Amino acid sequence: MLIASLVANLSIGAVNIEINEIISILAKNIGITKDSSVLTTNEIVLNSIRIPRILMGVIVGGSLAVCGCCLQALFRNPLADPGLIGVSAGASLGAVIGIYFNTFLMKIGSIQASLMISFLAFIFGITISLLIFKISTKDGKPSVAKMLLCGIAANSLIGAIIAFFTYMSSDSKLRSIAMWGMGNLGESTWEKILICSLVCITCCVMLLKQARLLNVFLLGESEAFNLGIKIEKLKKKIIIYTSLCVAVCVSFVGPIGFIGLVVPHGVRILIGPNLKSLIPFCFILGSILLTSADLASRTISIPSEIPIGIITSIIGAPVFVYLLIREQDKVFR
Amino acid sequence: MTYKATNISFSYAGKKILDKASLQIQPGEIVTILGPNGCGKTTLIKILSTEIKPDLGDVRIGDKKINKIKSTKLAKMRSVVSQKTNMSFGFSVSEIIEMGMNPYGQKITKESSGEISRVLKDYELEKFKNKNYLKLSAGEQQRVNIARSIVQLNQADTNQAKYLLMDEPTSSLDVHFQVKLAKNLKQLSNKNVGIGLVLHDINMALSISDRIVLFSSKKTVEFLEKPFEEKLPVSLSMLEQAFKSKFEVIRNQEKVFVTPSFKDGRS
Repeated sequence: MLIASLVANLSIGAVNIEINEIISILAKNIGITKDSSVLTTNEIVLNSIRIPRILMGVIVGGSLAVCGCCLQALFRNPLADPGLIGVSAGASLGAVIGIYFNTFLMKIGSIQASLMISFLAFIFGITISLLIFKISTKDGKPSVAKMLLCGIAANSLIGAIIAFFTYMSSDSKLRSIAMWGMGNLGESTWEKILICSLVCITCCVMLLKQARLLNVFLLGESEAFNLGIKIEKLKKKIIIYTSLCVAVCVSFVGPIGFIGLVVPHGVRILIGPNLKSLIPFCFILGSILLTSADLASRTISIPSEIPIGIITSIIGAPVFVYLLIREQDKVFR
Repeated sequence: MTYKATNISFSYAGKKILDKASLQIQPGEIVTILGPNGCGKTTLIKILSTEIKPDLGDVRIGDKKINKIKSTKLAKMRSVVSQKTNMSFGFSVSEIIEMGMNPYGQKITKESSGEISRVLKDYELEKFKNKNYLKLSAGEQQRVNIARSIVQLNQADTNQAKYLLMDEPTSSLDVHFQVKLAKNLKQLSNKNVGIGLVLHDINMALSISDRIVLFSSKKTVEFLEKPFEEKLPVSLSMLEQAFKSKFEVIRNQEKVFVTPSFKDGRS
């Protein structure tokens, strides 16, 4: 399914490219064939737009799903998602501030505007989630329930601050803020992919390494402790890896809802709650969902694009409800 | 090596739960803790397992303070059956029992898989092994938890001191499984496993314990040692005081049983 989605993404768009041509361009890219002719339009479309966009979709979709899955395990709550630890809201605030003070920031920095916004989003995302973590920790012991409630409070407060900036913004900034808030893979560049894949893949691998311990943690904190798990250390690791991963994803593509919540649910219903297999499958399904949503966002109303956040919710919500009704006995009480 | 809690004091939300309570479990000994609801039995088990820290006093295994023992090493020395579990996602019964292997690493060996099959058979869980834990009855869930704690303990080195702490392990079990558990605990104690358990069934305590400890005024007191047949009538007043109820002792050949007295209408 992932391969089918990737091929469809490469082929379909404002310019349709034949599969044979895709294969020959890819072969040329990796040096199998040596064609020294001038770059074709299709080659430019594929190398500069579609491939970076697809790769970003695979990494971000997979990572958000993996983070959602691990946070649901940490909170032992199937309704938890990456937004709950404040990282998405924090990143959104950073991006909104970046967009609002865009002209001023350009004067003090020489890097391009979108990277500056991503940088601010990342810093704010990490800062807010660490702040929530700090507030929820007493005597070195983070309380999961407190963290959840602090996350809700932070989301609400940040929502108000974002609303204030939105209210104060000019029409063009207002549109930028609104568009950023709906997610966009269209600005993916090779530099962004490099940073994003380095951070996200490292975090996902580290999270996969915690799968066995997280499984035991799902028995309950007492049971996990009695089975030799260092609970506080495990909680810290999960919060750090998921915060880093989500902050990077959100800072580059904006907040993309539903994937972190829906994908772990869907996969859990299909294969059960064992995180050793759940984490890899979540990565694959998250990638499929986001790349498919991106394909839809690019092709539904050519030449314009529908923001990807709208598509993920439109695809995700009915699939989620369908799976929930069909397979609920497997997972829930 | 003795599992020893000495002069444990613990308060929660300004209320004193334990006041200089002490308890000892020798290897191969079954010690039962009796006491009324809310007297601190569960708190004592949690302090023994190091899940909570006491305000005063210390817990040791042999000479070593328990909080100085590494968590995985401790998990190989003692396993705990809690009163209730708080699971949100439905693992299968066999997956939960396999989690008893956690302190020993990731791989399920031939030997450990044999052990898992054995406890599944012992606690008649074979037909449930692929079922969702959350779909089981409370009694079946309790059997799964007991089975998991036994897998945890049985994997440890045979020469090492081992202890099993159980908080009301029979609360949801039917008579058949209560008897089965009692036999299993005897077998474990014969293999030198020290067992500390909280029970409400005084007669079960009399039939399986080597020593019975009673909670009174937030402290533990040595209530009964063997032979119970001789000592029970003398100590009965302590039991009556702790539970604020009258009891009668019934003798049947060489055995003694205790039953609450309903004659005066107080119980």
